[in-house]
Amino acid sequence: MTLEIENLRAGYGDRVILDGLSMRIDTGDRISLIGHNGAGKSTIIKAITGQIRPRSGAIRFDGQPITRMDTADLVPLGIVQVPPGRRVFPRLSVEQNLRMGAYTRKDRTGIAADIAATYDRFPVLARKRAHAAGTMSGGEQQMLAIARALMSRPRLLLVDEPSLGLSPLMVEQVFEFLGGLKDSGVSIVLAEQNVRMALKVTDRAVVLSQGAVRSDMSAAALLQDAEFRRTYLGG
Amino acid sequence: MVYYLEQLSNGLAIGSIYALIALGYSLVYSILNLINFAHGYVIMVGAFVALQLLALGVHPALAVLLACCSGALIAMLVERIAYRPVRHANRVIPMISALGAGLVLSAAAQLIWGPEVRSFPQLIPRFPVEIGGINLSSQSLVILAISVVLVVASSWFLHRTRFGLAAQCVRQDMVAAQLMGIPVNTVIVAIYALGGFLGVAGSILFAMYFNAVFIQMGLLATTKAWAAAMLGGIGSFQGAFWGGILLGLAETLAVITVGSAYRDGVSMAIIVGVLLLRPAGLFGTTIKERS
Repeated sequence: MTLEIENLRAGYGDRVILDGLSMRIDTGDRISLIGHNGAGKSTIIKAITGQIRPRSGAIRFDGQPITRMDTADLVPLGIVQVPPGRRVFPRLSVEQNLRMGAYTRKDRTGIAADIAATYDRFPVLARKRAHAAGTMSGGEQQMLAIARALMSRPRLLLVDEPSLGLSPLMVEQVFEFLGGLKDSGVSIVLAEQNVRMALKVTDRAVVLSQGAVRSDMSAAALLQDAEFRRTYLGG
Repeated sequence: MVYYLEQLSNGLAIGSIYALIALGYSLVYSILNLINFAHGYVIMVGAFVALQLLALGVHPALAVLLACCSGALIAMLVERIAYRPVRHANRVIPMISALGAGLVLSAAAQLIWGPEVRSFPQLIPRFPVEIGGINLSSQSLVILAISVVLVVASSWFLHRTRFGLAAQCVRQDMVAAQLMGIPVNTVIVAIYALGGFLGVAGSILFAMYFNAVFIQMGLLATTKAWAAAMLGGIGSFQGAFWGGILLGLAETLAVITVGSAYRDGVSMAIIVGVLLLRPAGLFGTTIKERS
């Protein structure tokens, strides 16, 4: 899998957020997008998943241009997003949520096996499989939202603000889970305010500034950078 | 007592017709939070299509089926032309464009079929049916049976199939549905089509029951189905059904106690009453999310 973003310009109304951004994501890459509020972390994710139309530039997935494709058509290609605020289907049961995550798949036995594997991993989801998802706690819903996205068997998983509105304990659990995806080979792009947590579960860090990539290095190298530590980690 | 029971069956029949029409509103409202003001006109056109096909000598069963499909088709066109381009605009705008679509349908129907009230052939054989000493009309029983079958089939479609589950996802969170790869536009068009199909089934039964097809039945059916949908809880499938049944019973009760002139006032009274006392309707529910 390769995702190439080339000279992307995008924004909302008159506001330009991304201004000539280029980056590349390969199989198994686990990337943190780092930047202040409004730096364009979420905008990159929205542009990749077709939720906003870039003004110019190109996004290619395995060489195929996907810049103007519809969000729903990207899922079968293997690009799927976990939205901020979780957005599980509140009145569907946990199991139905998982099934809808696999909406674009046709292999019934594979889907059943993946649901069983999800339950093994998250006993709490298994226990509540018949409950309406909206009745679960925020942390449980976030687990479900990630598990639901994985049901489509993505090749590129984009996670936007998974810690939003969660208690510290829950944040810990969610990131532990994200870290555990390392062996699955899925590429991950993570946009997260909690930089310290984000860098723990990713290998590569892309720092955004003024709508473009300011630096692109390993998470470990970034953690050594004095200026970065001062700006984002408070010393 | 026997008289009341006999009237009860009439109330159930007319109520089930309202239910079929009300479902068209509730289905669309449940997904888009939009009042489908064109619905009444779509189903009026469907009733005329049925009349036209029958006049051309098409087999009644086929004519009714084709008319229902025409209702689905017109509803899909209305969605594409009058709703989709303004779906994300201020809520008033789709309402106005729907009214506009309704006016166009109404004017077109009047051009084609004229403004007169037409009689509708009685496709259901009428004979008295006696059950336990109570005389019921075959027509009422058949209408009730057809409505219940259609409602049960739709309910199964919406709650038990993969497509129905996808429709529920679109209803609960359109953005998340898109993120799961659910083709949101296709789902919405299908919901409009289903509403148009059921609505025309209702308007044909309505035409048979009152032996009349006319341009204004769009508006009349709209008012009644709207009252039914609100009574049951707008947006709720079961609510639309039971709201329709209750409205039919209430109207029949009004007819036999105070006189038939009051029939059409009942739905107005219900709309006012529901808005004052229980705006969410009888079956309107909300679900609270824990944080």
